[in-house]
Amino acid sequence: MLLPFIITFREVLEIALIVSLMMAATKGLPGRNKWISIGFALGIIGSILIAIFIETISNFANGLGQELFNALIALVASILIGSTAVWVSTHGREMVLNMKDKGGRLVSGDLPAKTLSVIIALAVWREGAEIVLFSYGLLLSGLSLTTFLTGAIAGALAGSILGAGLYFGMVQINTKHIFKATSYLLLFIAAGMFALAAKYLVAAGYFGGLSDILWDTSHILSEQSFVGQVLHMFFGYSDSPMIIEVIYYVLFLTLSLLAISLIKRKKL
Amino acid sequence: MKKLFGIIALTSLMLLGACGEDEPAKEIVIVLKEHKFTPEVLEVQSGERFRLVIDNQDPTAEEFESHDMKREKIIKGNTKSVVFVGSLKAGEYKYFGEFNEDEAIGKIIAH
Repeated sequence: MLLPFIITFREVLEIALIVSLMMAATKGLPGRNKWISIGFALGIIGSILIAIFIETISNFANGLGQELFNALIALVASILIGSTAVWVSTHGREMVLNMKDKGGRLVSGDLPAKTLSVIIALAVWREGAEIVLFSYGLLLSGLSLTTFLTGAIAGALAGSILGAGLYFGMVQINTKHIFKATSYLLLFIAAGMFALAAKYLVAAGYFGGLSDILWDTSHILSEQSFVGQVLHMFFGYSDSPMIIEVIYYVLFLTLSLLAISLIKRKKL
Repeated sequence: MKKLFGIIALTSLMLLGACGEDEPAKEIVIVLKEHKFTPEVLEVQSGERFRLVIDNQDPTAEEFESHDMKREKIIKGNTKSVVFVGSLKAGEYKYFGEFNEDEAIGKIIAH
């Protein structure tokens, strides 16, 4: 019962983190819940499909298809989350007005609302296929359905509760600052995901020359420790990053912050 | 926004530039059976590029994971999968099966 708990908890928490921050960042946006639900549904269907076809995916590119596929998902997800965060942080004033009078000046069309669905779907995809395959394996190896479900449901619940906690924590923030806070948090998460893509690309055989470890802080703060894992989720912390991971991370943050300041200057 | 799309373009360029990686690398097979890896300890030359073929003979899927080598890969039951290892510096590299962390453990030693 413990293993299904741990695995589902960890994966669901990663999904919940993105979902709750995206929800907080788009609070007051008409149609938000609809697009998020659609994203969820697509995510679950996609996860099952990936789980079924994982072997086919793996066999692409001389057996490195899974690495490329993971890299692609991480790249697309990070860029979409990044652009949404940039959008939110530069439309803060309109978002606040929108929240206050419910007629709202912003229509969901202003922010490509479908992006929301895609982001949620990708977030579920990233972890979902693993949950499906792991669960299937456990059941196949004779673990009773009740034991499995108790663990998995408890894990999923615990992950969701933490995610919900984050959401309600974020929306407590003064309306003036909520969009700023959520969008910057999202940018860091997206940068971490972008760096993760670099890691998958290295695993697929790219950037061989840039795969040396830049620094090793595993003796100070291990990535596997609790704090390390939390920092990894929020800021992409790695205790021994490769050069290319750091380049990707810094590049992503720099370009996003540049985009924000350029858009803000244009608006003034 | 445009900047962000610039990133996509940049990345694809980098990807293209890095293509042509296909010189054949040596293959080393590790068998996974009843959640155990054989051989448990593998010795390789440092700097050697190789393809680690993981032959999962269990009916259940496993996730091959190595923090030391920075690799993770899901391998379905009764299938083989490849993990590409660029070139290791001399040292010990642990790996494990994430779905059976207690039993499925092994390491690669690079000399």
